[in-house]
Amino acid sequence: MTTVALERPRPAGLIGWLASTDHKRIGLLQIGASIGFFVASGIAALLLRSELAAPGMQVVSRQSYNELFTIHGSGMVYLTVTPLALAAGIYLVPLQVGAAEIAWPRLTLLGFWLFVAGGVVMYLGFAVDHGAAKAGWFATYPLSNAANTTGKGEDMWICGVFLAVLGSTIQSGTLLATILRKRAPGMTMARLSAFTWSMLVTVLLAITSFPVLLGTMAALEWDRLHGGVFDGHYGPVAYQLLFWFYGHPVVYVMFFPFVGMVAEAVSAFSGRRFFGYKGFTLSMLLFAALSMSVWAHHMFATGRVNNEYFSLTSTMLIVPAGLEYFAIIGTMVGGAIVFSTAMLFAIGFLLLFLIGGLTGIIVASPPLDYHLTDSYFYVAHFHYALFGGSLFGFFAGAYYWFPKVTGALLRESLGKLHFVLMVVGANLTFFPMLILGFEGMPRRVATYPSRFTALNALETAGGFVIALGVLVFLVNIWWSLRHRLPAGNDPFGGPTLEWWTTSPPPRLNYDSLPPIRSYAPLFDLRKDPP
Amino acid sequence: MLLASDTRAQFTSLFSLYQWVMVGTAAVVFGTVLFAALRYRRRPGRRPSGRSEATMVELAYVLILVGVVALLVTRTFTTENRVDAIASNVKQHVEVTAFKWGWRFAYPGTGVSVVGDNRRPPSLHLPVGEPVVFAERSLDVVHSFWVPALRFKRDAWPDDTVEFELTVDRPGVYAGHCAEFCGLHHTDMNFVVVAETRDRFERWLRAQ
Repeated sequence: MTTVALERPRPAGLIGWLASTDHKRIGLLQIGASIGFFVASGIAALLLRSELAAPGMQVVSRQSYNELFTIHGSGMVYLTVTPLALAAGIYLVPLQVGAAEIAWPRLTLLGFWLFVAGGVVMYLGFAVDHGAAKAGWFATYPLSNAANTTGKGEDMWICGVFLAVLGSTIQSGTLLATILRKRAPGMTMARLSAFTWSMLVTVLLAITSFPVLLGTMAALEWDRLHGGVFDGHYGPVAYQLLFWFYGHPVVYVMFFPFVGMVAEAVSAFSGRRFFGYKGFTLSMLLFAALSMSVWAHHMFATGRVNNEYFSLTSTMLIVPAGLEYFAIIGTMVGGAIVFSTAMLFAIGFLLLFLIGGLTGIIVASPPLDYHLTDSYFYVAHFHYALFGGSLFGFFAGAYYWFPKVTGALLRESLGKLHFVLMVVGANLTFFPMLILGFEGMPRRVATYPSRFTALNALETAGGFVIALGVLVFLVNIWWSLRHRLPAGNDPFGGPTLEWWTTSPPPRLNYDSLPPIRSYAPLFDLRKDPP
Repeated sequence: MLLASDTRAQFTSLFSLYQWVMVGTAAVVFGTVLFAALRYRRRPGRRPSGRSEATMVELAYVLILVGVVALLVTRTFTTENRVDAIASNVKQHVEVTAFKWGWRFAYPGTGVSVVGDNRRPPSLHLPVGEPVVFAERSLDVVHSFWVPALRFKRDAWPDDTVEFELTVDRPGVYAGHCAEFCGLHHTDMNFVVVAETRDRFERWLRAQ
């Protein structure tokens, strides 16, 4: 008689978590770390907003101000939204495709540790001479060279960005392999859930654009140490082109997964199959293809790129974005909508991201961008996209999948309070920025003329309302885990595969699988049980 | 007739088109979401629709989106061609030099130049109603010359000179800023545009 060792015993306690190759644990660790960096970068934002509450310098020095906005932006892009998006994929994709494990689990774990190390190195810059990095999150050259930005903080920033993005790149590879090679029998590409499709295009973007940033950061560090990389004729333009070749696709890496989350939450809470699936997946692919060819729209005011080409590709994004709205709103129309917190955040996403998207079409027009770029209008634009879009999408996903992950429901009452605070806070903070930018307030300034005081004070108040909202969310998690409302396998009538298994899922995800006949296998099952 | 280099007028004309398209789109989407949310909320006896696609509607909708793109891009291109054009017969030239953290404005052929920094912002004197060609360069990092009232900015590079043409349409004093983050005193890298009639401008030039 032979015995088969099904599984090695799992180390218990902290080591069991930190060294786990279970994609669910890696995903949760990474969500936790991303939220940690979100809080840290959010505190930086509150300090910035406090300084801007009134004209003049009150709270921080000019140098600290420059460090704080650099770390706020870098912390949010490299250490919060990108790893959060990937973490959601690491947790959910293997479940949604019916796999027992993620492909290359150790590499996935390595990606997590590289990201954490990068974040720690970047933040430790505050502890060295001359302080943390202070050349902004895209470190324009030659501002970022050794002569113009002194101190090890900037080198630590480059190192931190490199490590974090290397981690994200590796994880994108493991996710791609999982989607392509680990699908359960019956789970064809045309039956992948909307969220998994959104992750597929996300990781395609990441593995094509992130390595360019790795090379750029290595070259920038070489330039800081020895000179001679970007300092010749055209060098500063080359740096910007290389940076934005990463810097635009990453915007969509930070966005697509949250569209996918919203699509699934809307489908579940409308009680119907996701509408316009084909159009949605095609629009995702078109979106990804286009977003690889728009990068120099960040450079319209440079006078050194072909504005027409990048304006055309950027404006064309209207088509896939419009198709996504069509599919999501089409799912609501004809549904039986339950206004859960997740659904409210999904609706909030649709409306707030719309403002980010529409202002994006405005700045895609070079003659308009000449005025609006690098102003507060632009700050408002990307905060509506990244905060009103991505983070609202994340919260929709958090309320929707929390029961699957923990086996307990989040409290709806606290959730609705969280939602109201977020909507009020986001609009109070970001809407006045549209006006201020149009009226002539540049971004990245520590003070301003007194005629801008009222709107700035309003924004600062809004920032603290957001902070209160985030606090309510964290309290909700703590309370809901302490006083558990058991969720069962499928509390919301979810359409996709993960709702078949227990909550939380077992180590290898599934003890059995239902037949998979469409992209909504659990809907099929309910409608037409085998 | 709009002057091509009157960037404020060109901006305003193009922006009003974009503004109405955006406000219209926002109204349609907000309205549809609100309608869907209220009309299709869960009630006893309400059964969700089983329909999962509407290909013809979607195709028609794509055509509308493509039409919107075509309209916006066409108007953008024609406006951009005007704004970016530099006439060869312009008589007034100004050399802009940006540095950490100030500006130097020089008037070629006159020997006149004005310099100022973050402590004492310089004034850029310009004649109104006629095109002025600027040649802009930086001595150190990338800066950006922004006059919000003219709805225009252009980056200043250390490795090359960029040119642009502007026309100030009415006399006045306008704020100008560096718009590209350039280090410690970026916040205070400001200047003032003093736009005056040709006569007054000539008098100012002679007085220097």
